[in-house]
Amino acid sequence: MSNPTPLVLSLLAAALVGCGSSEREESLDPPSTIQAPGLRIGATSAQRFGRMGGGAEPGAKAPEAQTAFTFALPAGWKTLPAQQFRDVNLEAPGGVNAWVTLMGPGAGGALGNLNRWRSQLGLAPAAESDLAALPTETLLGQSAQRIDLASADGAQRLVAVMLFEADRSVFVRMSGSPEAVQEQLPGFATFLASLADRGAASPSVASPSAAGSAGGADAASGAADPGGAGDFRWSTPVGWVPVGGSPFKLFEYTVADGKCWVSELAGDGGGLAANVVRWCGQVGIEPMAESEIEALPRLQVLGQEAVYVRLLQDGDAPGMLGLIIPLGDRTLFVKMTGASRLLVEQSPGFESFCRSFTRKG
Amino acid sequence: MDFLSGFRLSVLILFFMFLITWLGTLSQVEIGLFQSQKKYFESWIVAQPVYGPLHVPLPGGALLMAALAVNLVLGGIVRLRRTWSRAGILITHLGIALLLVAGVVKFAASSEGYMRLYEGEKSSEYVSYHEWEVTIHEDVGDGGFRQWVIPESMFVGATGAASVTVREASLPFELSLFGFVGNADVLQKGPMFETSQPVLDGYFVQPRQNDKEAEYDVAACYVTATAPGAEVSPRDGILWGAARYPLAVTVGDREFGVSLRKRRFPVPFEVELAKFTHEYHPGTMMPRVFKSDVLVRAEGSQPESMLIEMNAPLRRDGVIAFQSSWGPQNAGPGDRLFSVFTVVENPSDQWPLWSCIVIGIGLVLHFGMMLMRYIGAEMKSSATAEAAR
Repeated sequence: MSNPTPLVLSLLAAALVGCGSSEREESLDPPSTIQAPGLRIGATSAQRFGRMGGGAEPGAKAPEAQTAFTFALPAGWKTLPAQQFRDVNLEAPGGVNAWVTLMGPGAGGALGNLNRWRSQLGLAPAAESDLAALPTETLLGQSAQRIDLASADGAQRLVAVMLFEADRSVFVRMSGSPEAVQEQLPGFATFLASLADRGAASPSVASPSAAGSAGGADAASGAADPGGAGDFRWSTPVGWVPVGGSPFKLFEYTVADGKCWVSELAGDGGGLAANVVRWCGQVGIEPMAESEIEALPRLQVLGQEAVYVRLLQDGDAPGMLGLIIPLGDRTLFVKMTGASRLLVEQSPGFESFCRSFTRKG
Repeated sequence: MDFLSGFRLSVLILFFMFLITWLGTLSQVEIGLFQSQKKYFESWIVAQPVYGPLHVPLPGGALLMAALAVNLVLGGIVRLRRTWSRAGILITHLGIALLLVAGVVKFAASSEGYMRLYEGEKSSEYVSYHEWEVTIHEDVGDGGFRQWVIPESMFVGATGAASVTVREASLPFELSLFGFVGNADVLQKGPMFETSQPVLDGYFVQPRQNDKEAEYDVAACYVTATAPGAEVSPRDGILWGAARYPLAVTVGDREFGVSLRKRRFPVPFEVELAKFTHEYHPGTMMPRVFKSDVLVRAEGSQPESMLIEMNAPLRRDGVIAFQSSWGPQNAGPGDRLFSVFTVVENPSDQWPLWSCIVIGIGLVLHFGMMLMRYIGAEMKSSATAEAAR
């Protein structure tokens, strides 16, 4: 390397080529002819990007919605065609409207949107300091700000959750008369908990009715989302968050700090006594005697007499609710674990969940 | 020459290979498999972050493999003394060289994608997992379309304000592509916020972080169509990989559809899914068997009934189709199922097998000869000892 000139020149030439024109021209190969019977040319931007409202031709048949989100539809709620700024557009009983809006980053900011809604309701603008007092809610796995406003004349109530991320903003809003909105709050909570990005693990895996079909849930039991896995369908209690299936679990939910899952095993799944004794050990309770096991309460599930096991302790000590459903050639297990205090609270939901089981088809 | 063919370089290369493999494996947690592969194993130089903005340059996988090839060829083949006693070593090195060549050929000339078929559906193309292409279609009647294809290699550099303009003699307009991003949303522009991106018909491209699972990335770009002397409408548009319909561009009295989609690769035969079967291990959700009965039709030959199942791919005309997945995962009894095949075209598909055979032969020859030599020497020393007694 006694003479560095050639190297320097080469580097300079390479740099010039690299920093050259940012406009390039290319020639294409000649066209081919293909058969594509499903190809349609002539859709509007709204149709192309999955937002059917603005710009759709009058009378044109709206294609099936494909929004950026999946969700579980609360009981009695209906999906409506998406509109401009309503990527998911829903109608709840009592004339309540709810929708999801997906925007770019910032999207007017939290204060800007809060004051826009306040002005719509005839309320005075809020100050920056008021934002800090807003409660938070989980939306799409992130902490989001929750807004609950009543109009100045008392005729309207608006509940909204807004999430600002680095590359997008998401608003979920429900409004209507105060009484109707109050009645739909559990459904709104279910909807928020189920809302997921399309492509991410979503409740639609378990819920054939997700992303748009009408409810059909067991309203009497307070359940909201008809779910199911394997050969079974069930109604998911309000507030239970679907997690999905795994090799040993047909399906699993997160219930506050606890979890509930459904599994099935061939034959008797190891036997009633063996399972109950094992579960006692898992929560640190003295194993039950055979006579105690025989005396366990029964629930009618799937037309069978299922054994209901309640292993509860004081306060936050670990506990377990279990249901063993013998089905002849296999045994279905429903288990909920968590702090005993939580399980006491969730017992009614767990029992209604178990009673809601039906066979598919 | 001594350094290039020496063991010191070999050890240095192996050390950096170990380091790069370790760093590349760790980085998969942060950036996913695809990006990690690109950054560490398909690059010449890696800028490895150390602390804050401080980065250390390290040799990338491509550079290390090239250096290893040079080291191997010079040290193990060119400079090796060609005697019968070293024939095994030579053959072994040739086998390793063949393995490296197989890797280069696969990297440069193979393609991979998937073919998803519902029962009763057929296809003679597969879709890339990662590569994009822009297509222009013009309806020619009877379900037929004239199709122009712009491969990703042409527009991948059209990021930001940089643009690439494509033309073809039979296409009555030029298409300029710019603002290409590998992962993006297309959002509506609301009244409450501003965006630095161009807004067209109320929509704009919002770039997003690459997904760790690169298959989930959805690319987008802006396009401008121009035709001297003819009216073009719309002149500007957005292409998005998840758009449900093409961008309609009218040039004079002709209409074209422009789409951004995952690259399609044709295969020289047609596959029809006759039946998909799946079974679980009893009492679990672990798949025991999933298999697809397919009909394979090639031009000029009778349809052939074949079975594709786990570990038994379809191999035909240089194309390999593996049973990789199925769905819908929440399907109930009687629901229509689809089967997913991973399709690979790799000219060097069988080369690793051949190179392993060559390496095996070389090693057997070399160690066999050493063994023979050892036995001969032992016998000779025994005989000498006997004679001396």
